[in-house]
Formats: sequence, structure tokens, C-alpha cells
Amino acid sequence: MSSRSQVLIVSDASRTEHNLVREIHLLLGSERISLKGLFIEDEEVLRATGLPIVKEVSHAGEVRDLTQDRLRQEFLQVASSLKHTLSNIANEMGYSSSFEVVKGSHSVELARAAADVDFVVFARAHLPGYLRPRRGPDLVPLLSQAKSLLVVNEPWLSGRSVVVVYEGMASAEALRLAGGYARSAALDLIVVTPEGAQNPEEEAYATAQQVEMECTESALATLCQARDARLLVFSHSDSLQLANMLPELVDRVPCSILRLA
Amino acid sequence: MAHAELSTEQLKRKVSIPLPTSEPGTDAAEANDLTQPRALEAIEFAMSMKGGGYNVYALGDAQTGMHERLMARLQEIASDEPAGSDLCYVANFGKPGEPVAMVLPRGVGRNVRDDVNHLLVSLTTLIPAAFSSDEFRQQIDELNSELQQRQMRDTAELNEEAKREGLAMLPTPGGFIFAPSDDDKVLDAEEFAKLDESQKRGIASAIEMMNEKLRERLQAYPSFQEELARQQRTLAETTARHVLTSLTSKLRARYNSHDEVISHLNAIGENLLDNVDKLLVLSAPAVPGQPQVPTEDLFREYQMNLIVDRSDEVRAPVVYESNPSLENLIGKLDHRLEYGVPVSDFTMIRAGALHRANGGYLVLDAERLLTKPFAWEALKRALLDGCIRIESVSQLLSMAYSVSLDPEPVPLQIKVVLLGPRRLHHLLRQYDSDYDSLFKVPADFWDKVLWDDRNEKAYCDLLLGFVAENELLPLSDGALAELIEYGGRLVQDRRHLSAYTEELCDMVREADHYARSAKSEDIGRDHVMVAASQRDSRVGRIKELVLHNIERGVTVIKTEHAAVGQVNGLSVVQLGRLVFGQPSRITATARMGRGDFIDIERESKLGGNIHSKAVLIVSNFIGYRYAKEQPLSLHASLVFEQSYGGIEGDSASIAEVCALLSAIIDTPVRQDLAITGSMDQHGFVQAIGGVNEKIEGFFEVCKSQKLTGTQGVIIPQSNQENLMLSDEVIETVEKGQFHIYTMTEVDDAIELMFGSTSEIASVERIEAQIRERLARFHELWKSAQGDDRE
Repeated sequence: MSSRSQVLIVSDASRTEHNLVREIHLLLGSERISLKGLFIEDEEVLRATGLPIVKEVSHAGEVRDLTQDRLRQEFLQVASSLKHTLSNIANEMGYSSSFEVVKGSHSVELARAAADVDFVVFARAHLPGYLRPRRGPDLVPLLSQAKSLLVVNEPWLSGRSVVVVYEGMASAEALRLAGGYARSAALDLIVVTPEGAQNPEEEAYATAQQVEMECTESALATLCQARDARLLVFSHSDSLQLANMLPELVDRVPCSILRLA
Repeated sequence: MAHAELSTEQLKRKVSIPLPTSEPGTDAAEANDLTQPRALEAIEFAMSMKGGGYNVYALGDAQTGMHERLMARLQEIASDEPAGSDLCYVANFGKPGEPVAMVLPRGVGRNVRDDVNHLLVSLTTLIPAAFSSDEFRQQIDELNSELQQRQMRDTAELNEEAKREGLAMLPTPGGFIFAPSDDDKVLDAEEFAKLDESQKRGIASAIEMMNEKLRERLQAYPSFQEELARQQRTLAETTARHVLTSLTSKLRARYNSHDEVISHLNAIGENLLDNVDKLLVLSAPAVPGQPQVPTEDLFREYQMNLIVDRSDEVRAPVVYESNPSLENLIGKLDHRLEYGVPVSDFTMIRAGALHRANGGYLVLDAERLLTKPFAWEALKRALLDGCIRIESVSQLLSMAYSVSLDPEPVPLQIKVVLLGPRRLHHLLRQYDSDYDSLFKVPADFWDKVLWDDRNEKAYCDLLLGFVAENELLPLSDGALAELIEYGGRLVQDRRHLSAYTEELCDMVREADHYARSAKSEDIGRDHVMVAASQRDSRVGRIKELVLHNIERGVTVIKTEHAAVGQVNGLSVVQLGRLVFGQPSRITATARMGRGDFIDIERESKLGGNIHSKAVLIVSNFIGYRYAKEQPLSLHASLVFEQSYGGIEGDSASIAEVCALLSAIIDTPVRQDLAITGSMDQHGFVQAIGGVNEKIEGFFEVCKSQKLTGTQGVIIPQSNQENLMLSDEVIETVEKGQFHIYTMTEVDDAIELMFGSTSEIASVERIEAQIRERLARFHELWKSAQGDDRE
């Protein structure tokens, strides 16, 4: 994990940055972190606002006009705020940082920027109590890359447990990281083993709750909901192909998801 | 009457040895109480009187030991009375700026406070535990899950429906938009323009429909959230109530008879449940980088501020406040700084002396009280209102201040004793209209006490007690006798002793010093005398200077022979602690005139009113006595020679008469005698002050010039009771080298002053001479007047 020092934060000014970035070294197991902030001015949205028939429905449920100029202005404000936030936290935590604003397709630009980093954090703004935007489709181009990816479902610090999918030695890193984070954040650790798989042997996980079950999207979503999970962790290389299920899963579970490379 | 010469026994009251002392272990303060029955009876009267205003102003000098005696007596009175009540302040949840006062029986306050603290500690642990329990979390999660599920379901449904309508649902910074799309690609304006009108209308209609659906769902969320929050809150309340009920049930049983405590427990419970949201924070996970609210801050408002705790007291409180400032008197509000702004709450209320003394007695120094800003007004207000209000200076001045708290006033049941000088008592009576109704009882501590066996014994007990307490050398009987005589000398009275016990104790301490320097095993009479003479010596520079000037002839005082129109008067100089007698040369002139008496002191504005009055009495006496049947055709003048300061008093009246008569008949009067005494218009002699110092002052001058054996002083007979002369004077008198005469009327002075060292003068002869001379003056005056008319 020590090599994963290049971290890409892709966000549209999610409220979660402060808390997440302060904890990111726990997830990486490294103090040497270089943050790269990215804000994508979604060209699809910009294009859509060029149509006179398109209206914006605000989070509060008001229908209003949205011009391209106003949207650009809002993008600028969001990008500026995000840049400021990341810069401050990076200084506070002793990370190096940079920030980039690009215009393009959300999924394409995300995949492009992710190519040069070790760890991708993808967060989308969401006000608690309001409708959650879908994130899954944006992640599709990333799936082919063996990047570690954290998709944040806000709010980051809610939840009382870490759920990790363990399929044997191939998931050892995921288990270690999930266990470490659960300890440091005083959360319960729940180890999910697919039916027929072997439970972890290390004594360190003896106190963890172990659940054996069929690891489908809906079963994992139900478990995470029931156990008030903050984070669901699994490996890219699991035999269950959970990584491929990510676009669907991310919009079904209430918690954040960490997929390790 | 005729003059009389005093014997040595009459010059000083001596203490006979052995002295009456109490058994060892007698309380000195108790013994000394006997000396001030009037004051102590007044105090006891005031303390036993019910109703308002029977507070005491103890008049007197602090050096008389008034304070110690008062405190001892009050402690004694208080010992028969029950201890006061405990006093707590607790939060007023309905009006946070007005903390509630809770008066509880002695000892209950501490128990309740400790029990409430234990309750709060238990709540700190058990409420988070209850909120963290699986059962509670599960119920909360179920409530939260419902909303989350609904949101996710809505997102999925809206996306699917939009897709079916050929639209994409896209997030924007402020919400969502629905845009036409083809193969997941949003159409741009150009592509959209290529569509036919019906397609465009269809898309517009679909967008409008989706917008409306989204709007409906979004607008439903707040009420759904509110309902969710309400349900969560109800659940939290129920859980907290369960914990609270189980924890407070024992306390309720224990304090069942104290309604205030039960009310407070109820108030805590209600407030806690009203603010259950705050308690939920306790079970929430810590947020890195964000400060957590300290648990004690959450429960701070449920604490009890026990400002008066009488658990360890067994009798009514007796409090002496040595610094009676406003805050020390009525209590104060401490404050802490929050973001640079001072803030306060009920836990920062501090008790004042009135709180501590409530139900008992409060002793204050009047002078200190009156010099502290607003303290006197605050005390009066508390006594008039019968309650203590804690107010800061800024509140009293109606100034805006960040610390704003108005604690509930506390009922006040107290007796206040002010200690202070007499002048302050009289000033307060004159200028403060509330004073008489608030301090109805004056307790007058006299600065002297009767010199009888009982008080002589009390004196001994006091001094011996002081010696024991301060581990000084033992006092011999001789030293005790000398100290008692010194006490008599201080008040210049053979029938009284000084009540300035502090000065006497200082004398003992100083005598102890000299005794130790002399390696003595006890304090003897000599050591006391050395201490006294050293005291005089330390402040004696001016006295020496005066004597030195007389010796060198700079100041002219004759102590031998006789002179016309010149008499040695006696005055007293007082400069701080220094008091000494000083002879003054009083001279007079007389000639024919129209009845004028010129008081040169008055004419030169150096004479005081009393002195002027005395000169008028003298002039009228001469006219009445010697020229009753004819006009007084005399022009006379009087002056204190070489006096450059003011002259006041009437003690030179007899001396002035003698000087004037001598001048009228051109007959010399004795210069080896000094005379002091005032008189009335009929020639009867009246007492004067400072008689001992005056006699000793003239004695010193005679001694320095030469003791002839004829010198002496004539004093009023009524001053004989004041004689406590020094041993040196008495020894000289015993040897016949100095004489003390008393007089009762002017004629007594005349026969001595106009006589010789071997025989007295004939008053009748002198009187005849005066009448003859005055008749002559009148004849001459008439003749002069006739010449003038011609």
C-alpha cells in the first residue's frame, strides 16, 4: 500500500471532503500522499442547458430556468470551493496537492485522470434527505482499470461498521485494510464470506462478526443497510466479479464502497 | 474656701499589691467583657429583638478591643441558636437568565448536590449506553433506512422512467435536469433543431412531466424527514426517560420531604427530555478534526451551585467581613471568556458575606463599608427589602454588559453590627434618612472603664491572658500594677482605666522586649516604665525643642521672683501620639479707659471662639466683682506672649484674671507658680483638661532652670481626680521641692499669686486696692471726659 501515494479526488463539491481526506491515510496505510483534485465540467449538462425546453428542478423541488451561463458560473464556484477545501486540508495534513478543472464527459475524463494515479476517490454532492444522484454510469470506464477506487456515498462519517468481503488469501489486503480502519475509527468489523469460502484464520479477526452468505448485489445491500455500514470493502480480483457489479451496487447500498486494486 | 496644697498620696492613684487575678485559664475576653456593660447590654438587647431594624452601630475606637469583645459575645449568643440554611442556585430552564435560589436545611444542600452530581455522572454513562444499544440503534436504523430506501427507489424509478421517455436525468450543482438523449448521448441544440415539431412537443411534454414528478417527490421529502425526525426523537425520549426514571427514583424517595429538590429533579428530567437531541451527540462517533462538546458542558446546567454549605456548622453564623466591598457583601457573578466575551451562568454565582451570615450575625467596619463604592447602598437595600440581590456595579449603574444574569433574590434574616467611630454614627444619622430605621441600637463602647476592683481584676486577666497567648515573659505584680496605673494615666483619671487595651498590650510586648534585653526572667515594673519612657522619647523631639528654647531664653518663661501683669499659664500640645504640657507667659496691661478689654489673640485672629468667650467672662467678672456700682473706666489688654499659633480653650481664664488684676494695681505676682483653670462669671473655678501634662510641663521647665523649693502649680480642685502624675514629680513634691495647690474660686488663686513664697496675700487687701484703683480710673475718666466737653 505504501506505493499508493498518488490520490485523485474527483468531486463536484461533495460535503464529505474534509472528513474523508483527513482519514485517507488510514485507508491507504501511508502518510506520503499526493492529492490531485479534479473537477469535471460535465459537457452533457452544459449541452443540455442549451436547449430551451430544459428546466432545472432544484433539490427543494422548485422548477426553474437554467442557462448555460448560469451553469458555468455555478461550475466555477463549485470548482473554486473544492480547490480551496482540498488545498487547506492538504496543507493541514502535510500532503502535496494540485488541482485541475476540465470540461468533458464525466466518465471519460474520470478514466483519463485515473490512469496516472494509484487511488481514486469519487464523490458526488448529495444533501442528506434529498434525492441521491446516480453514480454508477460514471464509473463504467474505470472498471477495466485495476485502480483502487473509493466511491463515497455521503455522508462519509455515518455508519457504525465496516463490511469486508473475504474470499481467502486474495482478499487478505482488503481484510487487513478494513480491519485497520475499523479499529482506528472504532467501528464494528463484519467479515462476509461467500458460501463455501474459508473464514480468515488470523486471531486478529477473531472478534470480528463473521457472516456467511450469498454475495449478490441485493444481499450485500441489505446487509450493509441492516448493519449500518460506513464502508463496504472488496478486492478487484474476487471471483464474485463484484467489481463488475460496482455501477449497480453503488446506487443500491447506502454506504461508501472501496474496491481495492 | 481657701487654696489647699496636695500631699503625695493625692497626686497619683496607686495599685495595691497583691493584685486580684482570676484562676489560670480564665478567658481574657470574657473577663474583659465586664468592663463595657452598657455596650454589651445594648448588643444583647438588639440581638434579642425581633422585627426589622434592630441592627447595631457599635460606637467606639477599634483600639479599645471592641471588635474582639463583640465577636466573642456574638459567638456566645450564636451558640444557643440553630445554624442557618444551605443555599444553592440552580438553573432556571424556563428563564435561563434568572437562576433559581434553593434554600435547604443545614447539610441537605451538600447531600443533594453530591447526589445530583452522581446522577449526572450516571446519566453521562447510561444515556449514551442506551443510545448505543443494539435495540435503540436498530430502531433508529429502521427509521433511517426507510427514507434511504425511498430515495434510492425514487432515483432508480425516475432514471428508468426518464430513459423510457428518451430522457437522461443529469445532476447539476443545484439539482437535476431532464434532457433528451439518444443512445445515452444528450442532444445538443443543433440536433434538437433537426427534430420535427411533434417530436419536439413530445420531448417537451415528457420533460415537463418528469419535472413535475421529480418536483412532487422532492417536495414530499421535508415532511417525510420531519416525521422521521419526530419518530427518532420520540424514541430517544422514551429511552432517556426510562434511564432517568430508574436513576431518580431513589433520589425522589430520599428527598420526598423537600419540595424544592423534587421540583428541581422534575425540572432536570423535563429539560433533559426536551433536549434529548443534545444527548444523542454523546453516542455519535467522534468526527476527526471537529471538536467534541465536552460531556460536562452538556450536563452543566443540571448541576447545583451550593454557595453556602453549613454542613459543618453547629450554631448560627457569625461572620466578620474585613473587606466589605459590594461583591464581597452581596455576592458576585464570576465569568469566563468565550471568544473574548465575558459570559456567566448560575454555576458562577459566588456567595457574599450576607449569604454566609444569613440566619446569624454580620459584623462590618463602618468606615471600610462606606469607602467601598455602592456597598453601603447595597447593604441598606438588602436590609430594607429583606432579601439579597446579586447585582454587579454595571447593573447598578444600568450599564450594558455582556454578563447578564439576574439570580433570584434570597430572603434575608440577619442582624448586622457596624463598628465605627462616633462621628460616623452622627454623620449617618444626620445625612442618611434610612439610617435610624435600619440601625436602631447604638452600642456605645466607652474609651474608659470604671477603676474598681472588678475591672482591675479584668485588666489583670486581660494582660496575663495576652502574655500567655503570645508566650511573653511572665508579668510581675509590680509590672501589672504599673500597667494598670498606666491605664489610669492614659485617661487622666483616678476613677477610670483606659479601654484602649491594644495600647496596653503593645506596652506589655515592648516591656517584654526590654526585659529580655536585660536578661530578666520576668517583666518587672522597671521594664514597663522603660517601655513607657521610650515611647515618649521616640516622639519627644518637639517637646525637647520647646524645653530647649526655654532653657536658652529664646522663649521667655520666668520660674522665680515676681512680676507685674505677667502670669505663667499652662497649655497642652498634642501632635499625634505626642502630648506634653507647655508653660505660656500671659501678660496684661491696664490703664484708664472706657471699659475696653482687648484680647490681642482675638484681634490678631489667633484666638479661638472658646478662648474669646473665656476672655469675655473674665472681663465681665472683673466689672461685676470690682466695679459693680460704677462704670468700668478701664482699658486692658491680654496676650499669650511668644505664641505664634492659635490659642484655644478656656483653661487660662484664672491666669488671665491674675495678670489683669496685677496690671490694674501694679502689684507683682509670683513667677514661681503656674496656674491653670477656667472660671465662671462669679469667679468659681472649673476643671480643665490635660492637668497631668500641664503640671509635668511646668515641672520640667522649673527643673531645667533650677528647682527653688517654692515652685508649683495651681490647679482646679475638681481636677484633683485626674491626677496621675509621674513618679519624678511625686518624689520632688515629697521632698518639698515642688508644690501642687488646688483652688475652688478666684480668691484662692489671688492669695497664692499675690502672696510671697513665705506667706499668702490678703484677698481683702488686694480687693480694696483694685476697687480703689478702678475708682481712681473712673474719676480720671470723668475728668478727661469733662475736659473734652469743655
